[in-house]
Amino acid sequence: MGVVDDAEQPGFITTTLDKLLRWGRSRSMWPVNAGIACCSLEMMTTGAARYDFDRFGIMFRSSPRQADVMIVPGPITKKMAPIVQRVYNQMAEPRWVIAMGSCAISGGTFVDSYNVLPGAETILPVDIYIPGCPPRPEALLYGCLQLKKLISETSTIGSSRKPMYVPPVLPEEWPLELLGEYDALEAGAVWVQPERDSPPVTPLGDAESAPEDEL
Amino acid sequence: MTPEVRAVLARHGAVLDESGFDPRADVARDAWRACAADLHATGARFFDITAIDRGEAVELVLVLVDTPSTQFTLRTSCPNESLRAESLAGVFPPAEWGEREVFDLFGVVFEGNPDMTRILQPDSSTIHPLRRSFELEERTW
Amino acid sequence: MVNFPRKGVEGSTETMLLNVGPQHPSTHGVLHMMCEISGETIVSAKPVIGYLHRGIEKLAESRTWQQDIVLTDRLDYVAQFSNEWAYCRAVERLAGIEVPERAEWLRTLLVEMNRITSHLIWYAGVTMDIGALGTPFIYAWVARERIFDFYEAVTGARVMPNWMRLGGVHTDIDSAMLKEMRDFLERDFPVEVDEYEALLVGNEIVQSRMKGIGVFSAEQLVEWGVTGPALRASGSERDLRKDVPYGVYDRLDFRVCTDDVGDSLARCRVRLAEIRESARMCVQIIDGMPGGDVRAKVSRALKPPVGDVCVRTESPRGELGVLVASDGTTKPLRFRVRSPIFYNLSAMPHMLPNHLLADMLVIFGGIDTSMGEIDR
Repeated sequence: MGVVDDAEQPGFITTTLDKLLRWGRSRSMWPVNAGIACCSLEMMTTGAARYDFDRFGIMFRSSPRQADVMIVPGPITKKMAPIVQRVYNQMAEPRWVIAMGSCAISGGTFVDSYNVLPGAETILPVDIYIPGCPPRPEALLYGCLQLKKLISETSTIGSSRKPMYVPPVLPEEWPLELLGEYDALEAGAVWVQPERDSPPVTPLGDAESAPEDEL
Repeated sequence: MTPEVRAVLARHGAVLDESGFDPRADVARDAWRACAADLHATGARFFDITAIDRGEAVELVLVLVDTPSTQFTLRTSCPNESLRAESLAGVFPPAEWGEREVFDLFGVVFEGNPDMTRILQPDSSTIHPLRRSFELEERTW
Repeated sequence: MVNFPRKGVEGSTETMLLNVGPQHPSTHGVLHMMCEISGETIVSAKPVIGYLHRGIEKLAESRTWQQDIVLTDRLDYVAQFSNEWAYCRAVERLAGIEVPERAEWLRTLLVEMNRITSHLIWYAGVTMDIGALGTPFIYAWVARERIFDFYEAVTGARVMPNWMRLGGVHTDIDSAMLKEMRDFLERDFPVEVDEYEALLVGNEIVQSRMKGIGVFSAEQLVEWGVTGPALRASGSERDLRKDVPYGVYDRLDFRVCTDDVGDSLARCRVRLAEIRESARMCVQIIDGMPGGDVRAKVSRALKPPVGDVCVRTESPRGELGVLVASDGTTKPLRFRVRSPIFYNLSAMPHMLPNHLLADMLVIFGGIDTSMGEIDR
């Protein structure tokens, strides 16, 4: 960015749109407030008074639609995996994922278990890994600053939009959830509008019982 | 253990063993629900229902609290060929979830439970992991 | 698909099914609550759990008795010391291990401090759920961080201490640290709690949201299997620290905090009173702390005799039971956790009907869930 040093037209800067977007995105990362397990306590601590996430422009959003970063704070179980995937696919583009703690990195203590996935990367494209069980708030802050660096160095203009992330190895237990026509294009599937559980609509006036002369 | 509890256990033919840490009473599987219902009538409070895999049979363990400071266990045994027992959900309401968990992890079916489905594992699961016959996979690294 | 037949309301329009969770900021984890609502009123409800089922009970069977303490931390990650203690007490009872006197005092001290931090998280959560975004949450973290500094100095970790061992504790606390704890708990902490209480119980909006909401009698709650502060708020005196004294509770002067109203506000008052009472107990423990060893000699390849034992303890959320069974080898035959919130949550279908949807989170906050222990 360069400031136009012109006395007749003050207050102008020259930059590219790409740089401006990167600057803005890297300074307002909004993680989705999805607490999964133990690490979410440290995530909350980082948001509270002593460590104060807000000074970096990081504010937790409760709705994935308003968020662009997903912090995965805990082990992903087989029952939770489709939901985590769905939350990720509902987030606005472009989006990033932080795997927080050993469980989200590799399964951690529970890697042997019959119900835990070996890390978040099996279903999500992870950008930053923060080790620890759980990581200290300082570690989470450092990880977020690393992500900030990553965002300010990655161009998001002109790259092909990825509406849906398709993991390299599709898990067999659950089908990939398609949320719309656009997702189906990405997953190479045919989008079928699901049947909604809606109450039967009864017409207000019954045609047969109406008097004939009024018809 | 209160005298009322002793009387109920004796009426249902329970084998009482007080040599361990807590008194334990073994009843036949047919008397399981009736005995629990009579114990509920004496004022015993539900604490927990769980199971222990003994190899050839699954032992159901019902932990009850008779006075605030004492507890005892009521047990019955389900052989591997017929993993069934009568449900206690009508006697102790919290037992409904406890039984669902035993079904999920051990495969014991409780007859009369209003919702005999898996509670912890996903519905697509086909295993009963806390059985001895189920072994965890070796980790690959 | 979850088996959730709708009940419907006679003479009314069709009811609606509303899913709350598993990803929801107010479910304190990954709980999924299915509510059938007619207008704004809940007709029936069903909690769906298992989204954090990590199979700890199975994993414990493939580790040795000593190694399992690591797993107990991760059960209820808000009250770690309570879980460790329950497990250690069960195994010590089974194997006949004598715990040194000082270790018992140290354990009781940290578990009571843990009760404070656990209730502070409840405080932050329940106020956020009813709309007080931010202020009480950040206030609660002030005192919590001070106590977490003590945890870190004593155990080396903030959240997952792994501090207790079979037959004692891992590290001793020196007298300078004890004095610092005492200063904080006696001088600074009560001032903080006054502020918390004024913010919550003294607030007009909180009162109108909580007073008279979710009134249950002690008989009902006992029948539904509810334990802990939620039960004591209805007038019951059930507290295992008094009923079956363990640790050094029989040598401490404390009262069981109860309330006889039984509504959501009473549950808040009981928990706030427990915070004060725990701080008082901690001061007593620090004053009466004896000297001596903190850890008995226990073999690494411990082989408890064949048998099983169920031990009941009072965790911040209710009666935590641990059943361990041994077959005489170095690994447990069965490690079962009777989670208090598992059964407290199972009472939700009885508690919620005929309440407004907005009151669901108020009643739900009254039982103070932590999904790690429910799902294990």
